[in-house]
Formats: sequence, C-alpha cells, structure tokens
Amino acid sequence: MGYTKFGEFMRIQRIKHHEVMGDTAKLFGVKLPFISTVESGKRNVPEEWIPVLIEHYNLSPIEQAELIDAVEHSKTQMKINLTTANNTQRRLAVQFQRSFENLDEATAAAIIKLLGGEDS
Amino acid sequence: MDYETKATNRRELRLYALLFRSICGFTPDECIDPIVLLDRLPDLKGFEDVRYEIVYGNELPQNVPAQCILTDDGYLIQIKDTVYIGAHEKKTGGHRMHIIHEIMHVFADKLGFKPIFSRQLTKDIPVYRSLEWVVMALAGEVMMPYDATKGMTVEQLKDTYGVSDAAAKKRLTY
Repeated sequence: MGYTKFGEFMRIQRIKHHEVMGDTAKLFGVKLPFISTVESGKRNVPEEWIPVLIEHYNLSPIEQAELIDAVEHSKTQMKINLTTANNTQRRLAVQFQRSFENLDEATAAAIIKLLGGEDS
Repeated sequence: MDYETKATNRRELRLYALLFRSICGFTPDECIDPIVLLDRLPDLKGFEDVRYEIVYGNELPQNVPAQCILTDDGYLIQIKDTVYIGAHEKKTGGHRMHIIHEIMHVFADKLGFKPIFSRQLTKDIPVYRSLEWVVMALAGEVMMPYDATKGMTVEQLKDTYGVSDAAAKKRLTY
C-alpha cells in the first residue's frame, strides 16, 4: 500500500521546507508512529491539524484546497447523512455499503464516472 | 537472518555506491543524512515504490531496530521510533547506519541481489555470497565514500560522515 493522498501531501511539503517526519511530530505534539499511521491511512487526519498546517507552511488558497482534498481522500471512515434521503437513496446507500469491499477497479471507476466524479 | 545471493566483491559494490549517490544527486564525497533521504526516496528513479513508516518499539522484535519488507506494491521500510529519534535528534551513528542499511536492502534487491533459496539446509554462506554482507558493505560504501575517506581516522570518519564507531573501524580495514 502506497502513501495516502495526505501522506504524499505531507511528504512533498516536508521536502519543500527542508523538514523531516520528526519535525511534523513536534509540530503536532504527537509521537512519530502516530504520524505514520495517519499518513499511511490507518487513522483519520485529525481536523485540528488543518489550520496548523495552513499556518506552518503558509499554504496558498490552491494548496489549502489540495490539503482539504487530500484529507478527504485519506479518510478511513465516512458517514452519509440519510436524514432527508428518500427510500431509493436509502436503498442505494445500504447497497453501496454492502458491496463496497468487493468492488473491482473497473466497476468502481464506472460508478465514479456515472456519478460525475473525477477519474482519479 | 542471512541469505545466499549472487557473488560480488567490494570493488563492484563501491561502484554501486557511487551509482546510488548519483541517483540521489549527492556529490561523491558529501555526508548523507539517511533521515532526509527517507522522504525523498519515492522521487528517485527506480525507487518510486518505496515508502517508510515509524513504528512503536513493540511492533518489531526486540533485536530488530528496523526492517525492510516486500509488500504487494513495493517495499516498506519500518523503523522503530527510538531508532528514528536517535538518528534525527541525537545524530547517533549506529541509528543512522540502521536506517541506511534498510535503504540498501531495497537498492541491493533492485540491483539483482535476490535471495537464492537452496535445498541444502545447513550451509555456511561465503562472505562474497552473503546478502547481509552485500547490504552492510553497500551501507558502508555509501556513507563513507572510499576515495574521500582515504587516510581518515576513526574519529574523523565519525565526525565527518556521522557513522557508528563499528562502521568507522571497519572502514580502516580496507
């Protein structure tokens, strides 16, 4: 398993700013293995890290959008709000949850395309 | 654990060490920081499939400071947090050598130094066919470039290249 989008974002920022993972751990006041688990996608990126990163790396609006996108893509769990969903939407959500683990690449790509999402 | 691999010699490995420095964009004599190299690996030609992670001490066996494993899509270097901190904050030569050693496992594998699995169960592996020797020799040659370190003392080697006492002493033997 490669780096997550967030892990890759962090790797590039560290190189750009002549930092290493040890500096990232100090920045957030956490232990190094925790940084590793977040960057490899085993844990969600803590929300409170986002403003810290924006300030620390002085991220431009484009880079901020990349960061938010990377955090979203690196989530280990996602919630779908079904409060206002109709029956068909609920059926879709349940079916998607049931089938997710067994989705092959081609089917997943076809669904993304059908829903108007990006290719990659 | 050691494995038998294809035969080589130190002179050949010295050339590979120069090649590695060249791939990384280092001059033939500058000091290498293995910690900085870890993040840069996926950007280097041929190393796109290498990543690393820092793990808690209890995630690896007690006598294993770091290890390199093959995954479905590449190489994963796992480093104990104490080793990383030692190499990063204290610049401990031994810890720096542990990390470059694992990076050299990847490099050796890509150079074709693959384990040869023999049917013979008990067999002493000659040094020139030992995978662990290949990796240790590569690590030493990469960290202490041969031409630049000619005539250096153990202390000079440790101060200039940040290597362990054992690695510096080994350099004086060839």
